[in-house]
Amino acid sequence: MQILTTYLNSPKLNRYFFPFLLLMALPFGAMAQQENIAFRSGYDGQFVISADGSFDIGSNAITSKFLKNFYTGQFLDAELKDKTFKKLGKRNRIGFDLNYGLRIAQMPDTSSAWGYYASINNILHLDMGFTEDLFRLYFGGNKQYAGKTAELSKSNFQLLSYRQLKGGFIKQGNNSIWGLGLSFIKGENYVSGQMNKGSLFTEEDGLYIDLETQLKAQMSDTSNTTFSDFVGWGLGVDFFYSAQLNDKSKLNFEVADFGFISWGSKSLTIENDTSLRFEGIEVDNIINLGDSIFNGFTTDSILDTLNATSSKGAFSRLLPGYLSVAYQNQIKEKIALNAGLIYRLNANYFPYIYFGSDIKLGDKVNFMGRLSYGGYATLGLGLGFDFSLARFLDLRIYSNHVEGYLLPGAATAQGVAINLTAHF
Amino acid sequence: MSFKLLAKINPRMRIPKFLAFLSFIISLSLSGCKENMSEASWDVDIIAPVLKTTLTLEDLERDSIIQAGQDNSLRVVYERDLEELFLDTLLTIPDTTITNNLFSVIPLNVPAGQFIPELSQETKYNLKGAELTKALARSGKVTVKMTSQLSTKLFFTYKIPSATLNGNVFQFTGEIEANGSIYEEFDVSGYTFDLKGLNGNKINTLVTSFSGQVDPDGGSVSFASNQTFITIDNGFVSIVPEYVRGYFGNQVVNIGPDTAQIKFMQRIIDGGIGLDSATLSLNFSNGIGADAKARVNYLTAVNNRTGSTVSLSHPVIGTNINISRAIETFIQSGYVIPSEKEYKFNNANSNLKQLFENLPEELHYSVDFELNPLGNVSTGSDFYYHQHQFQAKLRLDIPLSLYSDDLTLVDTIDFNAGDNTLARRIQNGSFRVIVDNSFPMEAKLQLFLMDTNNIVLDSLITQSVIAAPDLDTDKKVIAPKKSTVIAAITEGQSEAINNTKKIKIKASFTTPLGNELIKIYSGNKLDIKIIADFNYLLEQP
Repeated sequence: MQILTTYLNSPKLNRYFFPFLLLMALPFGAMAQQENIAFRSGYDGQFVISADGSFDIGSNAITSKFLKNFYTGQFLDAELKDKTFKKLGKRNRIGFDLNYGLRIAQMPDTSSAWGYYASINNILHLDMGFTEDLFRLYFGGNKQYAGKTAELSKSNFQLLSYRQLKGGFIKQGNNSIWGLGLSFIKGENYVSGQMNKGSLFTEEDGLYIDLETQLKAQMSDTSNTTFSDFVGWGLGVDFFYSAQLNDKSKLNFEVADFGFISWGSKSLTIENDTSLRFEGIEVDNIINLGDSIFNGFTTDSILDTLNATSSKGAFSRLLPGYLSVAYQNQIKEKIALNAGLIYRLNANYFPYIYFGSDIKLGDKVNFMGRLSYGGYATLGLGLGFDFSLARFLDLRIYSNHVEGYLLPGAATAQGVAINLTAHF
Repeated sequence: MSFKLLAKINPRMRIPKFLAFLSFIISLSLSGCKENMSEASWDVDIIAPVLKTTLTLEDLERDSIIQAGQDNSLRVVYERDLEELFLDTLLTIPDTTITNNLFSVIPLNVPAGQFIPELSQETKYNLKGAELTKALARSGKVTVKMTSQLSTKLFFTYKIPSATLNGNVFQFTGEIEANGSIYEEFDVSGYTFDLKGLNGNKINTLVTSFSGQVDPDGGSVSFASNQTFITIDNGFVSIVPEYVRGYFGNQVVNIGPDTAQIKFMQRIIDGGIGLDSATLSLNFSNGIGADAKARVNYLTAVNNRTGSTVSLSHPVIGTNINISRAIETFIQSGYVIPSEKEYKFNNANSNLKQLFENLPEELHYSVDFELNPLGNVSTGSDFYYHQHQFQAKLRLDIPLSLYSDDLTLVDTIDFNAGDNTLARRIQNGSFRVIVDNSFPMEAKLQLFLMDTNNIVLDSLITQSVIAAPDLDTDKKVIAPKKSTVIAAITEGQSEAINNTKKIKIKASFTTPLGNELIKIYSGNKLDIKIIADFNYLLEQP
């Protein structure tokens, strides 16, 4: 129990584990993934250096204003919570991605030529799937459930951060281009929780609370937190393929970050499978009660009550990798339509579908617009621009969810990505 | 910021202003998230059980003086040994040190190696009027300090001929450097001390002897007549006698006038009670071979709150209680027949019941005790065995068959919620105290929050009633009665709770049948549940 207490008092758990248990919300987004450089036109035969940064946050129910107030440490008032409560479905999701990195690539110039690419990336990902009751319970309390049962089953979350060194080759075909890459991954942090079974019944007058939980939480070693510490390692595979279907249309397919991280032997697993009725802390003699009415609840006493056990040992987890399919049709000289589907593995992700267009506004500016549904959010509006800053320098700024900036009180996602590419 | 920096590095670099602005927004978004993540807060409405407990009369009283009788009715039974009030100072041998000087009545010149013949001395101890002839030490120490005025080393043998253990005389040998001194301590547990002196006709007198030899390798020494050459300090430390014989003296101890505080009664601030009965037994058992006399001059119960006093009346009050000496079948045989006496105070022969119904906060008393009131009638044959003491036992028995008329008690308990986030975060709401009462009485409860200076900051419960259960024809509780007491916490009171260091509990009790007596049984109790129902401020951990 000592070791468990140490972990539970760790800053990492204080920040992430309990929030999950009670229903925390941290973010995720829809499309943190940067577009594969091989799918972009105009770089044939060139050496490309690219810097990327992006973040996305999205949910099917939690509004951008709610998340902003949460992040910026403000008070979440009743009106704000009520608006979010009304958007909740039986099952809900939220996700957040923050990625940045550097890429280089030598693009093949002729058919049957070979190219290569390499990149370093820093990735933070968090996703959560939760019931309406779990969210309401955490942000509203249990009084609203007096005489009722709050259903918590099948709620889960994971927080993951890692650094990635990626390398691969690109092969140019007659009407296609494809590539294969491998990444070596240095795991930084991992915390996850999974409530397979969970319910909380509050007796109408609060005389007792029935709690049923079947919970598993895992976290990587918290004692090694510096850059040089190795708390986990992993491998990932990338594959992409782009086919020019005809003069005007092409089809892109990509698998990215399909792999795993193995977290080290000092990682912690906490499990419980408990069904209990809580009727208050039993005090032998109320004369000696003192301030135990306020001090009677300790981490150890709660864990003892929940009958939680902990163990140390290595475990492996899949990466929240991407699968994407995209179709593009150049309907006019300056207008291209595109549509696609993205799915993420092991990440509480709803299939993300989109439809949009790219419009040339001049020699040096392209406009991108997109309507989407899915991912961590629901309906989304994406906007972006490509700027040709110089003959060798391009800048892309886009957001898959600008609605969070425009209507923060109603929209449930926002994000922004920036890409600066030099090509020679 | 980052673009300003870039501009300084390369002033010719042209960055469109809107890109700089956009970058600034992005960087703010990213950095701001992380730094402020732990500060969000919101309030939740919580309803949950906090505590459950059972309160019985046994819980109220820490010295286990509440006992159940054969019919399960409760009574207060208080027992105490009183002998230490009388005899602690009478039959102890005080730590004593007496100095003896050794000298020769004629001038002497002692050559090296010369023996100093054995010099015996008597040492008489003052034992507060006791005239002892024999003592057996159960434990204790003898201390000896010797100081030499000789200019050469001296080898010596020190004896206490009147102290023997299994026929062996107490003695030890040693050496003292020229003009030096030594200090030794010896355990004398089990030694028998003959205190009759050299000729066997004295009292309190110990015989010691000293002999020695001047260092053969030193020079000769000379000293004048009556010049001290060795000083010996004989001491007794922490002597506990196993057996003592002699005359213990005529010793008088006056206890009081004095006052005993009854702290529990001091918590009563209002109301009254009526009792069925009260019985006090006073037993004396004298295992000492000496006569004793005791007299309780008075015992008065004082209620400072009401100003009323009740003096105990009983034939024994103000009269002498003579307690004869014990009988020793054979001298130092260990077989003793103690002398015993018993006195009872009850409703028939005293006003003891009224004394306790007065709810006394103080007992004023005066007691005299005298050992050997008739003098040395045993002609020095008083005896004392460690295992046969003078015993005086008090036993008070008050059945809890009573009525209570708004009997109001106040107690204060320490409390500190100032550092506790749980208490700090309660914004408003209440604690619901649900009580199942099976005591045959109604209770009214108030809670006051106080600071370190006992200044009342606020009131949590204002005169809430815990109802009395219904009684059957035998005045027994038919079934527990449920009551709910609300301790409301308003928004303003959260601050008061944070500053609270003590909680004052005021409770008053009233039995439901007026002045009719009702028995309290061991099954009577309060089952208490505390339910929290409040608005609580949460912060992201």
